[in-house]
Amino acid sequence: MYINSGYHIPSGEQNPDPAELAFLRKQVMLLNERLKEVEKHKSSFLSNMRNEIINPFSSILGLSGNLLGRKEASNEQLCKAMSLIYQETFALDFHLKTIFFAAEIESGECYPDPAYMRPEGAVAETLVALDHLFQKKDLRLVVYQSFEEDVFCDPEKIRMIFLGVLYHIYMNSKPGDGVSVKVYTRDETLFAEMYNTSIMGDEWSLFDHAHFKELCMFNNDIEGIHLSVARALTESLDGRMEVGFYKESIAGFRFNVPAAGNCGGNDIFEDKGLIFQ
Amino acid sequence: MPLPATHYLYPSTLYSSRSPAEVTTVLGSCVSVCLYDPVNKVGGINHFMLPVWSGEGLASPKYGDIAIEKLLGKMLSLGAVRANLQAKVFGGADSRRATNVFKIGERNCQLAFSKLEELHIPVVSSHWGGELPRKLIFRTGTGEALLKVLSKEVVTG
Repeated sequence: MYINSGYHIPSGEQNPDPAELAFLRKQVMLLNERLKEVEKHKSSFLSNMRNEIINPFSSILGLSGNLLGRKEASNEQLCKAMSLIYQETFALDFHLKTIFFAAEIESGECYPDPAYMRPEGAVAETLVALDHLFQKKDLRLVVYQSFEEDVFCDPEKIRMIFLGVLYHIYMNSKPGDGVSVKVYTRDETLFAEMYNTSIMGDEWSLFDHAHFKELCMFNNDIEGIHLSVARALTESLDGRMEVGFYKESIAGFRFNVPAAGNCGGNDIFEDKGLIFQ
Repeated sequence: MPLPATHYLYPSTLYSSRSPAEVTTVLGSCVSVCLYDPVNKVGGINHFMLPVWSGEGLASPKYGDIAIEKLLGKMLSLGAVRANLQAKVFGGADSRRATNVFKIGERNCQLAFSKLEELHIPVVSSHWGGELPRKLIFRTGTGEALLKVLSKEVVTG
């Protein structure tokens, strides 16, 4: 069905039906309740965001100020202080990048910037960046990688997707849990599967397609925003992300990103197209 | 006269500029709303995949209600005047397969038309529906839209 028509102004009713009015009032009340709920989440998000940015800054300033104020410090004390500063700086950098990506996505200006990338480099950088967190919880990491060739994709966004998903797994893991990371390429597509293997225990080998579904929505608190951004970035690269549930707990994620395709092209157009002036 | 800049519009994004640009995009079940102010010569276009944001997750222009509002906001910030605006709506194809029960294309179009009506922006032309994808080129400096229906049937959104 094709339309090529102008603008139609609907006529107003002179004597509205009372039943319809009652229904509309109920709809308005429901919308108001929903709006209040969204505002509450927004306030909670802003409050979390403020804490996640201001607290690391305060810690970095405090720790580095303390170091500068010392006349003598052992190597061990220096290493410990630097380690703490690194952790706070990482958190700050990660949260800010996430927030900026979220802003770009929400403004509709998050464009892919593909280049030929070595996926193993992105995996290694992600694991190095999160190593201090994984050590904190003593998570047992198993990594499997298999790459046929370089893939034509957006390296920065791929790294943010890896970081967002693994960070979520870290946050929801208990000390001593096992984490499996599997990344491979096939047919010019990058595939990744990242799980907490301890959630399923002995039934890990039974985890199959039936447990996966497309990623649901998450609230925008500071933890959920990392996953929301990872999902939105995956979709912006024409990829797909699924979450694996096990007895109502999130066990892991599976996602894929195809190589960036030919966009637009300059085929002959004018003679065989329609023009709307 | 310098050639206009060219830009490829990906799904869930939007583009608007004061300087003339030629924006290309490909639409399956997705819909593009093109807005143009002929007095101030400001144009913009979005490309959305689903009709309505549920209120959870990012408020992304992947959703039509968000995409149209954001495009309007950006154009107003670039100097467009709301009373001058005209709209063109394209896309919204749906596969004829029996498994296509959601009719995303049709719902996207319905959202576009109802949202524009709510915003009192007249739709001066449109080309939507059917089963085939479209390639669209929108010229932000003139408001002109060139459209080609592609031969490959829509399989996914």
